[in-house]
Amino acid sequence: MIYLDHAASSPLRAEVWKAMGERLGAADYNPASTHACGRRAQEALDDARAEIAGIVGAARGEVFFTAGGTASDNVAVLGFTRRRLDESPRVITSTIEHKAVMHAAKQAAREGADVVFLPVDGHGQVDPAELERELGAGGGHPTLVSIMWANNEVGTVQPIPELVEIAHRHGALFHSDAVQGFGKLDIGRGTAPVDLMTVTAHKLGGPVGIGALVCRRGTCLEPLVFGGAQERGVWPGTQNPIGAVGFATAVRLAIDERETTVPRYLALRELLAAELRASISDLVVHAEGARERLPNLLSVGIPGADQGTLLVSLDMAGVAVSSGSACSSGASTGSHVLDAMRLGAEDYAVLRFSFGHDTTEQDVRDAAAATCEATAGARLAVAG
Amino acid sequence: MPEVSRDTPASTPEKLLVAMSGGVDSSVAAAFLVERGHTVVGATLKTFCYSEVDGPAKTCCGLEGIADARSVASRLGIAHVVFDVEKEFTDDVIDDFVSEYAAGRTPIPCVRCNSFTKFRDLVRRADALGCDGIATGHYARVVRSDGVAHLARAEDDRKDQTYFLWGIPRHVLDRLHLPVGEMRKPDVRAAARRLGLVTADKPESFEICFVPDNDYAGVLRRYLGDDHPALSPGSFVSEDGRVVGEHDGYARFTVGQRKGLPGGSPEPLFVLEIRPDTREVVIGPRAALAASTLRAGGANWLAERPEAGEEVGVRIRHGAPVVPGRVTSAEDDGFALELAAPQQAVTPGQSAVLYRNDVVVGGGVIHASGEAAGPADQCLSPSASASRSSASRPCFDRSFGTRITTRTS
Repeated sequence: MIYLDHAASSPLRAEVWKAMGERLGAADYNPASTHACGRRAQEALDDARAEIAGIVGAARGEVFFTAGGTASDNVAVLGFTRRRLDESPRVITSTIEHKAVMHAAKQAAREGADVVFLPVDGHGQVDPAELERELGAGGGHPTLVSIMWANNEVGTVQPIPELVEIAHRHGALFHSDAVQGFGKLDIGRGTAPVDLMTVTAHKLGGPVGIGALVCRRGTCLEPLVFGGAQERGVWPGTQNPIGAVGFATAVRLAIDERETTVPRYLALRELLAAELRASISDLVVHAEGARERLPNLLSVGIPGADQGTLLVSLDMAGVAVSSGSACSSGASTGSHVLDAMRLGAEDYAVLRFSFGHDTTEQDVRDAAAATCEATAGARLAVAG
Repeated sequence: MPEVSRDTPASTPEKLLVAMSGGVDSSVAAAFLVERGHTVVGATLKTFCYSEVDGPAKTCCGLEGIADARSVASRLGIAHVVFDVEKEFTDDVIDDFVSEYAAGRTPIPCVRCNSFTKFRDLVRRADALGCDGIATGHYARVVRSDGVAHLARAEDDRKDQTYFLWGIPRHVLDRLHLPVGEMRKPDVRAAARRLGLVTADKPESFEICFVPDNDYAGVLRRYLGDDHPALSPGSFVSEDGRVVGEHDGYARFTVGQRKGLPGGSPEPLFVLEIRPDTREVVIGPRAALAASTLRAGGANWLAERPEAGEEVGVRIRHGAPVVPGRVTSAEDDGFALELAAPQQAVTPGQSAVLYRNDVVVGGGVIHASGEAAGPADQCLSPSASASRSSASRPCFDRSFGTRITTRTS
């Protein structure tokens, strides 16, 4: 199997598995327990927290472990608005956010918040002037701007430093879902002083089920789930120290290897686009004109081809890719991201290829060849 | 006719696209084909989706079905794909469902779906994937005589679904596998348990796939608008034309319906006819429901077309017995029949399916019924004919978990 769906989940890395194994007998207890076993688990959790905090340029007390990206996004958006419901809170977000932000924002609107979705251009980029204009019309209400660092479907990277500066100038807080960009882009407080940031482990070869919300000290959020005092009440429930060990290890590996992986990803991305274009002349590369795209992600559109046929053909040919947008059913649905970019149409198949640390040039060449072959069939399914 | 041979396992393994609804029948169908050595690709058709429209509160219709189909495919170690056919389904099935009700008829969306969406789209994708054939979990059989494939009634007659399948393209039969058509339902469940399939004990689905909460009037309102004549007040009239009450929209009624009619009559009253042009719903006694002839249009032939005068079996609603009839005319696009004994469920919009013994000859959509039927190519409009039937029955294509209940409760 050629696995080019690391943006969905990047398989657990051997080093991560090893690090987690080494903490067995310590990290697999309840850190809240007062006995020695609990303390060993607490130590593992603390170490992981410190590691991640250091990498993102936050204090240890500013990293809250959660169940993953969706949990962090929900706590950021709804935690912000629910805390300020009597002050008419505002949320300014974009039309191409991950559903974890988009649907949390819609829920905030149902609960009384004023929610604005900023448009994007044809490459998926938010215009900072739009944010400026929207914030200028804010009327002094507490405002959260939530704009993802890099898009999960098409890879567009947003001008986060500039957007954060604008938000702060207007007294707004800034949240960014950095799930896809973390470990591939230069992401952290040093790059852009975000107030809230979502990261997760499993996009980096860490375990599924653990993520973090990086939260500037003094940023008050209402909890969404209720229980004990774990994670200072922001995300209660027994903590996951063994997962945190894996998370921290995966992040450390990604950061340490970034200097070599990023140029390699870029070369693979360009190779794949060129190989596909060579035989699919009307191929559309999404976000191609963006100032910056994720190095490890290529999203393409193939006009006149059937989505399901294309995906299952590639599946049977041993190539694992996705359409980039799927409802939990597994059906490819109309993508809100492509809609916002005014792309896509009926019989427009979308493929998202995303690379991981072990992706080779041969993988990319083989996947390109399989895609070209599968496209012929997927076009028959439409023409038939 | 020559003796038929059953659909036996292929001597050479084939590559098959199997429609998997997430129900037990199609799960077992896929499992059997895998056991017989075929290369199987599971496909679930996503026909309708409520999610993505209004945020996360609503869930995808069929979401559970799709998830179950994926689980079964994983268990069987086969590829699985979801084909998004929402647009086709809307065009071919929902639009027809709505316009048929607006025209005062009682449609069977399952028939439309099989005829126009499911099999056509599956075959097209099977071709695109280089598959030799397709399979479904329907209770029906493919039999061969002299090398020609025919559709035949299921081994388990109470489960037989040929009533919903008369409209499929005939050329599909050659490449169609129906593994559970040879089995009885309890044996299908037992097989699913033996194979450890998550769907083994899944209850029968009673949801209309595109009608939330069985509120089909709500669907009609959504598509037609509140002020459409079909949903606007009109008169109940007696057989002799007297106005005997007012109703709140003729689309809420079906021929044979008893509920919701004006009281005060010494004997039970039934809907005899719906006249969309005048919004009248004609009501009368049970005796007036019986019909001994019918005409059907939109015919499809799955075997040699019958000649006028041929004795056939006919089924006029799902679950009803096959009763004897005589073909009075048969053309490419329609036919007319005389029934050996009067029937009480000859409802415009429902199907009439013809059989030679177990084999499906073809079928059509009932346009008219009465004491005397003319040639098939001169079908009267339902409002101009004396359309008669008994109480409506649920139409229910189990293999795809779809049921239409027409105002029986």
